[in-house]
Amino acid sequence: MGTEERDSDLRLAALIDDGLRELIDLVSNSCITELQIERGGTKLYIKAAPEGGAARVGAETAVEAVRAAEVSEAAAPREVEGYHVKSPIVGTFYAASGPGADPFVQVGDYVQQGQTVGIVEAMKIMNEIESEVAGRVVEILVENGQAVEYGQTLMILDVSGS
Amino acid sequence: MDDITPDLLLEGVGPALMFREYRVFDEIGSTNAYLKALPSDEPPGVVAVADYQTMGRGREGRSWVAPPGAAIQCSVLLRPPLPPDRIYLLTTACALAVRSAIAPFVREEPRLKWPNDVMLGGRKVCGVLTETEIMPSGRARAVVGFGVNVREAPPARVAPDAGCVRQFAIRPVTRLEVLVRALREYDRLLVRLYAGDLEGVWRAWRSSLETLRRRVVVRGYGGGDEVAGWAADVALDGALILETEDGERRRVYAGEAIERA
Repeated sequence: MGTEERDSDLRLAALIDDGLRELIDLVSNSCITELQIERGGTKLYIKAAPEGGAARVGAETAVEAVRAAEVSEAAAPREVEGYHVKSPIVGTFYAASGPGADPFVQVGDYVQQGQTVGIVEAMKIMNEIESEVAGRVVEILVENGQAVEYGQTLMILDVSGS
Repeated sequence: MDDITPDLLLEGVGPALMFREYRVFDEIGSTNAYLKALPSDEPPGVVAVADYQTMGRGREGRSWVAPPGAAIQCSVLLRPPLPPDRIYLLTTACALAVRSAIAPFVREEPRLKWPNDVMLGGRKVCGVLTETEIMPSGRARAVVGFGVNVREAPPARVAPDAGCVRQFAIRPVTRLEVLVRALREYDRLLVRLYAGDLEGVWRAWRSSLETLRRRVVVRGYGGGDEVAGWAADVALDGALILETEDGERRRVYAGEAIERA
């Protein structure tokens, strides 16, 4: 590990000692959905997970994601109504199972609960992203082959008809 | 051709905590696809082994065909208690297991190419492909598949960088021996991971990587992105940390790392 990396780790470790867990709990247990703090070279970003149980892991992952050198602007939330299908990891989005294959879903398609809507690849792992809900695809926000961040919205489903 | 049967595997691997059933096929589309098609309530621990894969699946749907008896094709069904961004450790543990399995048969120490190709004498002898289904809750079911070229490598026109274990062997090697050793070691590493020793497995992986402290170019797939730099380290989430010529540190999560002279 390089000095910069180690320093960043130390700063984060200090932050954790200084009550990061309390901050996470605060976010988890309040109406706050996102919290961003920037001090020196360290950015801390906490985003509440939709389910209480996943909040802590999600927050830790979010801290890592922001530490990454390439912080994507695209991760910024968008104000679009509907159910947001989000990426559970940092990686590369694939709309289809392979080159030349039809995309898993297209705008206008009706998606069943548990249906695969895309793949996010990281570390040679093909993560099939399943929709937790049924609904119609109203918008796909990422392109095939695009790098995505943790928690980034991949597509938006209209669930009003179900 | 050496035989591989469920009984021989059961006897050879011995008591395993992670594997409960071995299913061996003469011919199958893909051992990964077979496990993925099992009902979603199928308990983990099924190991599928194919003698001959008519349609192996690699990255990006690239396919290759192994002649009968040439290679091991094996996939395991797991339900890892790991957060989504640590599931990659299943893949790296598998590569580490194959690496230890083939080490006794060869003179040169096998190394890993980031993230998880097992290399012998600069040639790839094993690849690992994990496929997972992640629900938004973070719960995952994972199929980890690996192929080891034991007796024969794919022809150069299909895979110019491929090699096989026999090519570098200092004593006779059978597919059964390699598979038994790999599964035994994989079981041991999975137990470590499930018990929470993520960092221990990460350290073992990191010290086996031949990619580190070299100049590399990482080619992305699909978009054709290319990042060149000095492979300084790997992060806890598996990313390759590249120092580019502008002094920037970039984390890379996907792509093929090619060494640059």
